[in-house]
Amino acid sequence: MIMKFQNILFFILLFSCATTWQVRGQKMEIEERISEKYFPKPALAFIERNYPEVNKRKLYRETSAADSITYEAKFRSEGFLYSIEFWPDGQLLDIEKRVKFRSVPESTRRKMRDRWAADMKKFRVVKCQEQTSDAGTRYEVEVRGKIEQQVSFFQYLFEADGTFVQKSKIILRPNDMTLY
Amino acid sequence: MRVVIFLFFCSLGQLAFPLALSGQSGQLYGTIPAVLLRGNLKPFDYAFSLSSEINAISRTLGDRTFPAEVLNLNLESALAYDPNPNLNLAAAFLYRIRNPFSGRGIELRPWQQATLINRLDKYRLRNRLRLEERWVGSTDEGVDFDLRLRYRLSTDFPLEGERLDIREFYLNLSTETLFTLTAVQPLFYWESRTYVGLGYQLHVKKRLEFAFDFRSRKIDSLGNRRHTLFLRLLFIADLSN
Repeated sequence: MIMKFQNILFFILLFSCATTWQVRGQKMEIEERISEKYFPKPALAFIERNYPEVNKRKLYRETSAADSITYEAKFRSEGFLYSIEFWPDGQLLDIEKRVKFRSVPESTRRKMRDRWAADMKKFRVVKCQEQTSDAGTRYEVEVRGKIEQQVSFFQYLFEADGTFVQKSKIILRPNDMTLY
Repeated sequence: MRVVIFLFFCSLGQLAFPLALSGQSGQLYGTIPAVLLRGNLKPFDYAFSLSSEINAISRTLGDRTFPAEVLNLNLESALAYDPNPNLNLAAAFLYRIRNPFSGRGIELRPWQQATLINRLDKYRLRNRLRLEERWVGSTDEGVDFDLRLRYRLSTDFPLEGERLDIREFYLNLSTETLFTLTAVQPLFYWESRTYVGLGYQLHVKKRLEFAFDFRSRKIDSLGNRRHTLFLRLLFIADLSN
């Protein structure tokens, strides 16, 4: 009886090892939570200087597919959710601030809607962020849209005046948890 | 994150020694090793799984003995389709060998389910309704048929950051109610399942989930219940490109 149970466990472990070897070598973008002592000091000073009322602050280190490292602070301040990204030396990369879509200027919103109407049959704004970087102010908007009977989530980037910059499809986590 | 993992292990105490345990109610302990292989054949997702429920500790409850043994071996294949990001439809066929090493019986179980999925930042909330048709057969007792309805409310979320990256943990929690519609007094003899799973994304295409799966069902008209705590170890591999 014990032998048979061991056989099942052995099978699982063997299978696990086999697939580990199969996909070894691939790289992924990794976001890991870190403590204050590993976060660039100038970046922490920037946050303290510019956002005196900070709540629920979380710090992350992000390693991209090209092995470049950036640091990100996520927090709430004065009712807004912020995500601020820095280079390892503490230099500011960009500031993302969650805003209500209706707070975006009407002329900009009209251009965005025109773009979505051209791309999709139906659409709904899920999330809107104001992005500030060297490139100026931009809007990053997550949209749920229907294209040829298929509903998906997309991320759009627009200039402050509503000029389209880029679009990418959001890959959702698989729903295999519904099966077990 | 460490606090959540600590609380996860602390929950074992509550699951192993539930407050409801009283009278003639009894507790069993077992394990469920399982492997799930999933893939994609557009527009469908497919999955195959191999699992087994094992009663790990021999116990006598009342006048009945539950020996330590393999309770069943399960081979399952499923096909799933997402009409939109908030709805998942699936159908599957389970082939179960009951008591494979001590008197064999076979169960054939096709099932169908619909899952509503809502996402709120990193949290994913799922409402699942499943209908199972169970044909249970043994050489000496013929074939029995049962229709079972299951409703499950569950959530999962990464413990580090807003998305699940490799080498990160996630939590998968669910509570489920099961009714055997063809049984006598299906609303009285209901079964509940509580699942507390701690998962780890090993690599981009595979993950491991360790869980406490607590099951409780009424066993007589007095309301006595039988509880089973399963330790579940699930390995999931994605075969899609």
